[in-house]
Amino acid sequence: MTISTYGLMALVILAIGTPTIVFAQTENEVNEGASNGEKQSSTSTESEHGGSTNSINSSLILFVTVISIASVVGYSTWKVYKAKRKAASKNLV
Amino acid sequence: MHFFSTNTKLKIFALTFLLFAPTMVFADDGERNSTAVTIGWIGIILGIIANLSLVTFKIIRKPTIVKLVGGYDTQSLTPLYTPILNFHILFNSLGFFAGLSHGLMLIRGLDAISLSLAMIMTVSMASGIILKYAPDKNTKFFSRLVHGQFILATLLITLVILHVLTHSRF
Repeated sequence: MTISTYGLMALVILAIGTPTIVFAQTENEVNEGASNGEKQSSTSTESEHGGSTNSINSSLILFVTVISIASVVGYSTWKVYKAKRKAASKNLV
Repeated sequence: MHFFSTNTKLKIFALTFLLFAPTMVFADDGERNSTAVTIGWIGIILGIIANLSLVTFKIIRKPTIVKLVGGYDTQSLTPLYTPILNFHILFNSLGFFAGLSHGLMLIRGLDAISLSLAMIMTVSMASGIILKYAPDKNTKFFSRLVHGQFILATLLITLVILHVLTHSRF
């Protein structure tokens, strides 16, 4: 492999790894916040209801994004596989 | 008279824009614009310009549009493709790294929308890099399919709008 390929791979790894690192950092902060929150007074029922709705929305947005990415990658892989099979069958004939 | 080539004109335009972009953003006011927010706006502006230029070029190359508008043919536009593609790559790379810096600087305000946006941007960027540099035909085909998916583009636009609406104080 050439140096440019190594550089490219490093960039791709950095680009893919960044959201994970960011997410891990936030998880830590959330955990810290949760442990501090136990010491504080409890919140009202109304705010709890709002919090759960926000949580559902957040989960839904993340779910839709992950499903979209997975479906796009899956569809593209299937297309490539189909094209390869077609080419292989043509070579046999 | 013909002073500069198209490529040079595009470079001059890009450099001028890059010089003035921060000034234009800072010119608003000094109250709510921190550096991180400014970087985020620069990323959005760069992304819009980078993608609109390529999409517009691809639209005006379509035979139906050529027939409708007239006065040019698709062959005359062919030499412009490489400079516009390079412009798209350059501006999107700058926009991606601006967005990355913005996200890392404001990491405490991360929510589901921002994380989803980061994921979509990363997939688009990674597939773009692979599309540009992959030597293998199948890998190139795969990355072209991923990079050009309508659903990803729609999701990206929606998430950018949601991100701006949820984080900006108008």
